[in-house]
Amino acid sequence: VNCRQAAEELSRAQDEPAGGFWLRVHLAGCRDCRRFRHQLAVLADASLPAPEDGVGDERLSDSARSRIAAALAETPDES
Amino acid sequence: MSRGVEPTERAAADPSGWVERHGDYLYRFAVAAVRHREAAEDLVQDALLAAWRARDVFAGDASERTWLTAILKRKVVDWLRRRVVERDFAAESDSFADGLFDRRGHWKRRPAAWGELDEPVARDEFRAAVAGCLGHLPERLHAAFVLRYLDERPGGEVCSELGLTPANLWVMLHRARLRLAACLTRTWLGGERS
Repeated sequence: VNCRQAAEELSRAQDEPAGGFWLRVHLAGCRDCRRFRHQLAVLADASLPAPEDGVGDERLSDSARSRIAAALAETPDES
Repeated sequence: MSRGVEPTERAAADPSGWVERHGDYLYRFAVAAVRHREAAEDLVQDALLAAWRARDVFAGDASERTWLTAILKRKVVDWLRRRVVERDFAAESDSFADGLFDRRGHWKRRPAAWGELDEPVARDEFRAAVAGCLGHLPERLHAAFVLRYLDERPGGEVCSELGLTPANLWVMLHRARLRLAACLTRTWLGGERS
């Protein structure tokens, strides 16, 4: 078992139960992979709520605004 | 179209106000996920039209924005799914990963020691850095990664819908994560530490 395989397994463990005994043994003796594990945890922690809160300051362009407003106005009232 | 003005009409049935009140927010959500300006605009439009058609379903127990965002999110997920097509990723070598590890599979450069995101400020900075690094990912990896965290479902379900084998999806996610980790170490930490 080497770091490359351990890194793959650590990544897989983010998505499903993974990581057997061999991984724990490797991590116990490998500070680099423990650091990578921490990086993955931080990354997952920050990624989870996803761009739900709409970060950034971009705005919908004026052309898109009027296009969408027009499309909404044209949509027949089916109900 | 001559609907009588009902005094009890809900705000959710006022589509002209949607663009004004939520347009920027929805657009930011979409553009962060799909990275294409025009596609993001189209998705916002699709979502608002779908919301308009389904406005009677709006229960009023969530906020209007939350409801619209949920509809947009489904549109975004569909869009991303179409970007992630079946390909035997596992069989292809990844030159990026090849550059990270030596022939014996050890890290060529030790992973940096990242701190914790205890402070809200640190968290915001980090998320801004993540957004920047996501921008550098190859398109399919980007789509897979965003999908993974947007979809909120177990990876197994996500990949069966994508027509990917689990191995394919995890390889893609792993490749995305390796790139993000390296990019964030550069841009967020602002340098390597050992």
